[in-house]
Amino acid sequence: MPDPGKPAAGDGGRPPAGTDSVLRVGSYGVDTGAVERLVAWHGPGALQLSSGGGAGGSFTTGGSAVAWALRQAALRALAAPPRIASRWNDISLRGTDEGPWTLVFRGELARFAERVLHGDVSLSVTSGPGRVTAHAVLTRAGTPDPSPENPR
Amino acid sequence: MSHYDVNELVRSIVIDTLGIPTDLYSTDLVFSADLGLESLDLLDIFFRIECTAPVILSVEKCGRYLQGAVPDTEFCDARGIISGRGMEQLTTVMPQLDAVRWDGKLTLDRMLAEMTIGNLISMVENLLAEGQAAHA
Repeated sequence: MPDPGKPAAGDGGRPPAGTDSVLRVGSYGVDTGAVERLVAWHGPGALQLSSGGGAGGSFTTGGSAVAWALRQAALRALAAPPRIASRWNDISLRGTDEGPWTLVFRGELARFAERVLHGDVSLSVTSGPGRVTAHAVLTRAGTPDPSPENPR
Repeated sequence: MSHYDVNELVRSIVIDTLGIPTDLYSTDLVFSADLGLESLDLLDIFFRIECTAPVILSVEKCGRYLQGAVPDTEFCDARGIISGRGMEQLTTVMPQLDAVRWDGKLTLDRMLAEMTIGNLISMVENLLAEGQAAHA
């Protein structure tokens, strides 16, 4: 049974005592024409951009580039290992082309985010002619506390 | 063994997708940061390979292939820097990586930028073999 979607919010921004935390910025820029060509060639499911559902609005075809860039920026900021970072279906976005946006994590990505994410993910988008760049800023857990088995 | 000429398949698709002049094509070509795991070009290449060969070449499979059996918590640190154990795994699927040179310096984003066409060919061959084993 699929896990219920979880908005990308952590523990209110307070890192657990005894752990380091790291401020992470993930950026991703994309050519809007390239997104449209890929969708035209391989169909609307090509980008695996699932809707987060709910009353959050939706993205237009042109807004696919915004949704794509936001998702990739968030995955970069999370610094997730390849097995997790490649689970694109575990992340969806609520919102409209102009924002505001809410990331929704599911499944293994949600479990990973729950473990490492401190607080919310801040999202922004800048755009110019034919290009969209998304930025995701978050605080995530640093390296685990040293233990006798795993000294730093 | 696959009856598909994966080298030729990838060659024709990469040339067609990226518009590389045929005489510049080489299996040593390294994907730039823009052609990495999350790039639209790589996704396009995956789709085209899937249309031609009986292989499901999802990004998820690509991620599992790169990470191997290394646990999520041990592959990289919070800054995305690949650990010693992660490097050990990566050099099995990206043998051109110099583990000494990249020790403590290779990030997840850079890892993708270091992928070569040859790495992609090996991955497709591996996934084709996996699919055949599943149907055997």
